[in-house]
Amino acid sequence: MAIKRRNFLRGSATAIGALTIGQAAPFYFARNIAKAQDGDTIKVGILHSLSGTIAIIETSLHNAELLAIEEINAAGGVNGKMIEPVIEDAQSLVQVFAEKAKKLLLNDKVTAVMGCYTSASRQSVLPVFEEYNGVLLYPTLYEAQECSKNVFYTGAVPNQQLDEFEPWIVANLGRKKCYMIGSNYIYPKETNREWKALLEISGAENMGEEYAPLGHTEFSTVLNNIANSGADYVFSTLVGDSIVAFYKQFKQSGFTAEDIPICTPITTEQETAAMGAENAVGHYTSFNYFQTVDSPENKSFVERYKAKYGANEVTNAVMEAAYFQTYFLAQGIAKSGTDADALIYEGLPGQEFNAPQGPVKIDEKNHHTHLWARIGKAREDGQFDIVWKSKERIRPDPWVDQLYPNKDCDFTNQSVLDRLKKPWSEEKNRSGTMDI
Amino acid sequence: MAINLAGGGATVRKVRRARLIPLWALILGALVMALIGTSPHYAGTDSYVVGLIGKFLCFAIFALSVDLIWGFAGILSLGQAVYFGIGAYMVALSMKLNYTLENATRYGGNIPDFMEWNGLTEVPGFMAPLLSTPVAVALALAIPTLLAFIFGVITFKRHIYGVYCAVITLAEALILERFIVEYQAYTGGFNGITDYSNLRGAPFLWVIIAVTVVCFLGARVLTHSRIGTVLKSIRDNDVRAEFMGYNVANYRIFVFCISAFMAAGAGAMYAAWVGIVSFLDTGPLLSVEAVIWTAVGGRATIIGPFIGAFLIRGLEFVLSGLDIELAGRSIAEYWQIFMGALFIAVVLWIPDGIVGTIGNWVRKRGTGTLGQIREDQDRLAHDRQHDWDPAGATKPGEERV
Repeated sequence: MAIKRRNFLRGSATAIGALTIGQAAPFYFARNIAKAQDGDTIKVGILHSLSGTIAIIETSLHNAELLAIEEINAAGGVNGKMIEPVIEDAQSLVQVFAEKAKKLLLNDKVTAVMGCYTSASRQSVLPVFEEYNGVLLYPTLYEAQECSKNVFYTGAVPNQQLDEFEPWIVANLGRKKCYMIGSNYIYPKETNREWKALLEISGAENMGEEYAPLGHTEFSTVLNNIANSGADYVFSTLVGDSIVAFYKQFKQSGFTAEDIPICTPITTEQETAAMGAENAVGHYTSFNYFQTVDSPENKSFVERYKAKYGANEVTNAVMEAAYFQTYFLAQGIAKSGTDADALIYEGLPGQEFNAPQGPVKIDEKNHHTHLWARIGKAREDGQFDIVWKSKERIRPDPWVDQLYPNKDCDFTNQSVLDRLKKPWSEEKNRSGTMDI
Repeated sequence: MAINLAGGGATVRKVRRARLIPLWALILGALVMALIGTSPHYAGTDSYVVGLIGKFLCFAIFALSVDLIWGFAGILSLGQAVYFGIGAYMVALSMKLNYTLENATRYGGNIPDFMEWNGLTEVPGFMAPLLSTPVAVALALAIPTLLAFIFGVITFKRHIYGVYCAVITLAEALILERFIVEYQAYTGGFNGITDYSNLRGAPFLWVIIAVTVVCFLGARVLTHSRIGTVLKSIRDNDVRAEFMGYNVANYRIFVFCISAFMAAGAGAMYAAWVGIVSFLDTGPLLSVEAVIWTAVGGRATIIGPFIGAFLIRGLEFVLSGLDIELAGRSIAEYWQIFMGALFIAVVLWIPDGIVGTIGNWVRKRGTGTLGQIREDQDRLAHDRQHDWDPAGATKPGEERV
């Protein structure tokens, strides 16, 4: 094929241009690395979805973390260094979570990352954190049965929300006939497994169990089933838009909170506001934190949050965890420095902080968090009256005894530590789980 | 060659000369990718860049598959991710099954974690063939192609096209997405499939680059063949093409299957490269994104989808982590405004997309390149429609009077 001079020139120009880009690009990235290596600041990744379907809740976590960083820096930083947040938007897409995590660890060389919200997003970044030995602080309540070396879980696991809740329902509401409704995915299924075990212990009855597709908003059949089942309360693990639809239709079809209360470990102030508080009145939620918690720490937290982000903002439990985990991280770095293994084994375990919900602590063995249990009754203004509070904070148990008597998670156990010391190429199991 | 259906030598020469440029660009592009991919700059600390390049290449092939049916045959599909996603899920399932055989899951078992928490105790029999990699790859390619064929037969044969066809493809994507989320014991549901290791680094990157080059060359050959010419005439006036005796439905089914095959291949490589698949990879969101990449890059051009996919995905990646404060907030918190502005700008000012517009501009200067080739093609197709030639009797290369 004949090559015309003009084309040859044009092609060559393109080639030179492309090569220039190819060669220049490394400098862009190299600059970032240089920035990371000058030790004036401590880089911390903030990895939440600021756009996409779960942006509303995740933006509030992002905000809470930035608020805490601002406060820590205003008080002089950590060991004289400022914390520099590296913000990424994960766009509610699991692949983006994974690639951003990789970027934060490899390119920005952050000391730790605070981020993720759904279990899906956490599971998508797990392999990245485990392979490159990063540190992730994860603020959401979740279904447990996980115990990664590289993750610190600051949200509640089922035993912290359920173990006291079920006996409380039996003792105080006098109800022993439960109907379970949940969204069809991992969290509700795992939570209900434990709930059923609890029902059995207290001799309560399981009147039915049903799963609606995620995002489902039409519940007339379900409500019919509930009415026919003879249940005297509903245990709901619906999430997202389904919560709002279910509570509304529940009221519309004539159920009242006095006849059949809805008890749930998920519905927060955020949802009661979205559904219109009159639909939630009288129903119960079990959580570690409510905006109405009566403590000076919480009052000041709510005030500072509103001052920064607007008077109409409400606080919720996940965001409170996002807030106090930032302090955990700062204290951990102050204790052990920024090396990942030092943080994982010395810095973070055992950290305590006076959080808005009360004093909280990271468990030395399983790297989950000791949290308070509370039961709230929704009232007319969308907030919750706290009708019960645990006497002490509750130890997290990622492998609950009722379901997994033979498993435990222990990062102080020598055989576990020996396994985790092996390089990634030899041993891909980074879990602290072991058989007992 | 395939194009010289009509006219004197001048046109032929012009067309052939024009064709050199995109070929050049293609080979160059591949070289640059390879250079970046294997450059020591990125080898260690920056390997996420290599990850992105492999991923974008898969997206580029996927966008090309959209361009083939939309740009060259006028079939707007809002569900092309169905074929991409099925390809991806087959490979991901296969890799996950094999990975869990060797590495215990967090439950300690040797079946995928999503099966375990859904109460399955062993891998269901119908999934056993996926344990073999060649079978999985074959299925990843064959199932989407077969689906596309069935879809083609039940829509195109009934003269369903245009906006109705687009709506049906959209429904198709929604159905598959829902299916995957609901049948979580077999698909991982909302969480998708992750933690199955992935193929990374140079060897597989070369495979992706090679497949990309083959796909783009293949698309070029196809669209410049006699079939391509007929497809374009169908795109421009399907009734007339029908009257000329072409079996419009069969041509549409054919290109739809080719496109699905390509999308499936892209999906399969994507799953192996990225190491995560999710229901979002099968749904309307990704489908529409591919349409946008194609539109921005330039529909009915070969390298348009490639440029569109790289440009938009690259911009998104950079902007969504751009921590520069503007108006008191970090750009990462509202970067999508900029992307929106870009899309509006493209639609308003360069509706032919980047490559199409450059082509038009070059053509105006009378040097005959990208735009020219399109123009020539369209004119040829047009001429052909005017000459009554029902059976397409003129063989390539024959002089027509």
